Amino acid sequence: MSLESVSPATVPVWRLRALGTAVVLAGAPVGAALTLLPVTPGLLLALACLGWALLVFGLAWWLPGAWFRHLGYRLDSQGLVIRQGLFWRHRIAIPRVRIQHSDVSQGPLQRRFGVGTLKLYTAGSRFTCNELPGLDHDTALALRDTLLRQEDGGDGDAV
Amino acid sequence: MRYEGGQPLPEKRLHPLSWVFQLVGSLGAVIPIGVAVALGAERGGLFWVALPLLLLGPLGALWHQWVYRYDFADDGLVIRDGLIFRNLRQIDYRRIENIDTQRNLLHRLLGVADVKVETSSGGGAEATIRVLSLDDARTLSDTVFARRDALKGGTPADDHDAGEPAEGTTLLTLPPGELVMLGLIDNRNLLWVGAVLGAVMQVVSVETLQRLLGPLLRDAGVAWLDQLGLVVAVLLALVTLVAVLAVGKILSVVAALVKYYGYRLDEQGSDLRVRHGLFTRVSVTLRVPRIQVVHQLATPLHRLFRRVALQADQAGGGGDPEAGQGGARPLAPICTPAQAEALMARALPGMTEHVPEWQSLSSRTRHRLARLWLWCWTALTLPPGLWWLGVHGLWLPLAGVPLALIHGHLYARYTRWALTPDLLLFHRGWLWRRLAVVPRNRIQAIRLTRSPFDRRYRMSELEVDTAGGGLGKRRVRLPYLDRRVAARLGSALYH
Repeated sequence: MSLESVSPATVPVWRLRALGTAVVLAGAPVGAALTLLPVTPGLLLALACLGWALLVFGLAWWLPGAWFRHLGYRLDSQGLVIRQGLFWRHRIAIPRVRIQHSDVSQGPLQRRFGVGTLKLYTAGSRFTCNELPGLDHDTALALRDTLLRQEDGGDGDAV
Repeated sequence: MRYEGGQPLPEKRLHPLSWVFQLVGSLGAVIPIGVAVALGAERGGLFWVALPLLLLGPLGALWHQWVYRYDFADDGLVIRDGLIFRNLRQIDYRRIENIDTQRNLLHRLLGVADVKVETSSGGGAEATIRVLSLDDARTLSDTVFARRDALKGGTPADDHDAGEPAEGTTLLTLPPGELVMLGLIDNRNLLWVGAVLGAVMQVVSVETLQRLLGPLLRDAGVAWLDQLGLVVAVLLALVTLVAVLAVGKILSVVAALVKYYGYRLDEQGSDLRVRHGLFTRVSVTLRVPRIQVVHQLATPLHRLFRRVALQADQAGGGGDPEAGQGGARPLAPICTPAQAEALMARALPGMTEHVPEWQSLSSRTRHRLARLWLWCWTALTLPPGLWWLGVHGLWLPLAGVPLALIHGHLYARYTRWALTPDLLLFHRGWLWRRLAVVPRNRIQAIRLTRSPFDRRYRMSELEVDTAGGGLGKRRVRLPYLDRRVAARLGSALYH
């Protein structure tokens, strides 16, 4: 029951993305505190701002790596199993015959690092779109092809 | 049908009185404006602001009727809506599952019908054609199904005529006695009656009632009315409560009688057809091969009358809000448990022959639920308790202990699951009980979740996804499973 991990090249992508969020999250309150508070910036305020910024940037650095370590997938004769999540850990199993269609998508940042996201669509109601992010782009394409090729064996109607 | 630049130009038009129904259909949007006008009339100026808004409704309805066209193309039904922002919709004949007609009193008086075209995609009817004359509706349905069958090259299906009661085996009828019971069980409109009475009480106020009822009570020999003030208030509250219950139940019974009058569930080939309604005749078709989950519900009131309710989630067509509770389609709004079992066998043909071996949840469920309830109880009662009672408020959390223990015990006792070669069954809850029956070959995906709490109690939660419903309470989610059991069940469902 071992799972394969996705490409490590995706961690920088997520880190850069998290960094963008962190700049906003850390910058907005700090900026607001510095401009709006009537008091002159004292040592305490500076320390609080610094602490908050450190926390946000620390999380932005740490979370993608941890998320990567908990992300895994396995392709077997039945279909694809995806495990993900850090606090709430999900393991979703999608039988191959249930896959309606699939996408491999790649954002500009992902393209630079050569990774892509595999999206599998089922006819379900809650888990209609299942994403497996951070795959090596070629692996994603190969996975998609494997899943699609053997899909013909199904009964044609995946409902 | 004509074509222009490769685009089909549908030519058939709606019934000349369509705008009336379009207007009635959009009445909900007009009511707030009406209220605003009524309020604004006092202030003068607002009225003239709102008047053009009020006129928008009829004009929009006329516009809709004017521009709406439909027609039969070679391979699909074509519907055009809008002239400036055009929306051309082509629905492949082969994908049309069903054409339902719906008629309320107004429709019947004018000899027209709402026509709903349903496909297997989710989210309600693919198109609602409002309204067509009965002949046009018949033509539409006949043409579509004739062409569908021609395209499919299969045997022509003969049971798709709109609005005509076709022959078939009747599985369930509901006599008025059952409908009265259904009304008594249904609690949904109590909320409304309560809200209305509450609003009335706001206007009338307790003082007015006391002033009205005070002399009566004094005549009846009640002295010292002033000292009885609290008693009168309590009495009034009780009377109000009883009145709310009585009025609510009476309205509910009337509503059930009107809505489900002449309820009939027929089996026609592989379809189950439901018809009911005194004024609004509703006909809903459930295609048995597309049934995804069957739910059986039993509230405490259901159990008092020894009845259950049966619903089915169908693939696609999230269901009409009017036809079902939150999207589910009712198989039987009320029936005996024995009837429910028979109906379930019809809805899931050939799958119910194995007797389920019920398995319980993890042995740690009791403990976990009791603790969860105790925490919630404490969080809810401690702050107000400390505020009003001071130090004595600390006793309040203790009062919740028996409740939490009882709930944990009963929930763990009545919640259970079973796996047969064809079905996954899950029975949940002890006060409100819900049994979900999922055919294993309809399961789209299986998800195991372990929250931080699950990890602490070595549990997992298993959720299965099907192509129908699956929202809100109708999610099929098995919580509090032992971790190993959940993994085994998950892999059994996957393979």
